[in-house]
Amino acid sequence: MSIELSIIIGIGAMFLLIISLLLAFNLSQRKKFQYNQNLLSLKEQQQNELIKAAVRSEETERHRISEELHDEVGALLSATKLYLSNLHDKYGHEDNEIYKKSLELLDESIHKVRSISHNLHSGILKELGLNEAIQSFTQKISQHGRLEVVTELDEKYSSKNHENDISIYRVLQELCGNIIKHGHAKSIKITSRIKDNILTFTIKHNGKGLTQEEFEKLRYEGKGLGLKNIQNRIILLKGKINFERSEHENTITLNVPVNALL
Amino acid sequence: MLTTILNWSEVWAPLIPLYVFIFKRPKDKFLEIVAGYLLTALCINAVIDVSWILNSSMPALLKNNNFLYNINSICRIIFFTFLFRNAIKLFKKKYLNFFLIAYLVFFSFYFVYNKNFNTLNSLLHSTESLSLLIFSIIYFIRLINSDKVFLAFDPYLLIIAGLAIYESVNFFVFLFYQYLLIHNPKFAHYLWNVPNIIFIIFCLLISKAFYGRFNFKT
Repeated sequence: MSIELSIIIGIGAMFLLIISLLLAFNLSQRKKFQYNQNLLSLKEQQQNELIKAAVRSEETERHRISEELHDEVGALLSATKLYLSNLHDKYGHEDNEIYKKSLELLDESIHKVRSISHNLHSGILKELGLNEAIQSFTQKISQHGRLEVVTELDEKYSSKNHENDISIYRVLQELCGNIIKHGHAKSIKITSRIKDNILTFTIKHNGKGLTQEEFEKLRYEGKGLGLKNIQNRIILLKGKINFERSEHENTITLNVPVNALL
Repeated sequence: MLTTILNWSEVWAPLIPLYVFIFKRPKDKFLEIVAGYLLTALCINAVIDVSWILNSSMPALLKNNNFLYNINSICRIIFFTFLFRNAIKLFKKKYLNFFLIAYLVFFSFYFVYNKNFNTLNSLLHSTESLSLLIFSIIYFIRLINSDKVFLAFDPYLLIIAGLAIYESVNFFVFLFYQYLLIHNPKFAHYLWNVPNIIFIIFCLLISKAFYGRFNFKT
């Protein structure tokens, strides 16, 4: 073999060697990338399972507390009311004012216990659906002259997954709670709309609002369990939440893909 | 025409990455080492090609321009060893310093005693090619064995890939070039097109490294 041919073969061999090395590098990168993606998706899946378990246990606990409040405390208060009436019948009407005040306080306590119990319980969701549950909840928080809550809910929406409905309901409950407690709003308007398989809730209020950056900051700082709960439930719903603040009106938009609700 | 373009590729090819470097001003300061090499190569290659064209009217020193190729090779190993030492951190700095000093000392003695610096020295060029090729191969093998995934654009990846291709092809060319110049100068002349073509590819890869990621508008 001539030296010229040897040189050409040598050049070719070296070139192929380097190209093979570069291809091996490229292949290893693709494999590593795929592996990392799988790992990430597995982690996300695990995180979602954890969130789901946490949300489920929270819901179970709410249910238990609600039932105990209703059955135990509610029953005790009703019995106390009965005994008080008996006592009043037996010992006359000497101190009518104290009796009336006690009865009034007892009635208020029974009412409060029932209200808390109903808030914690998601029974209405199961029976009547998300829209009815939201309307019932907003009616309860509405206070004539102090807080006006208006709802305009898309009637086309029909519930397909009860657990996800609970999550949406809890998010709206938490958001309204925050708007009243921290935002000191005088009016809240909740609207819902289904378009292109996306269920969108828009909450407009005239209180002190948050920007998206402030929401993210508060969430990362770990201030407030409520915001964390909101975020967890949104992750479960595969949805998105957006906070907007303007001079006269603040808007919170919650988008939930309907497919995720199936 | 094509032969002329290829013959002058040593001069015009470095202008592309240098233009991109000036135009884009990459943030990574170690890329200046590569730009420095390109500028040095451009100057040396320009003198080489001009002295080759105007051979008869050149001063005696530049009538034989082979020593400039040797200087170019020494510059290449200095600049890229600096790149492997400072930017890529292939080995500990002291090892690469030792390698460079040993290389320079060895070839200083070699040329002092052989006094043939005016010929295109195969030993000098092939040692340079082999050393930089080994560094590049070690760099890629380390990347293959590491857990690192290149999600972001890495200019050094392109530069070292270009260097590896350039040196792998040139190793055999340089190793036998001195021999071919004596025994088959015609083939040697044709063979010189190979380093020219690979140098263009190398410069294009460096240009891409300087340019960064393409931003396609959708």
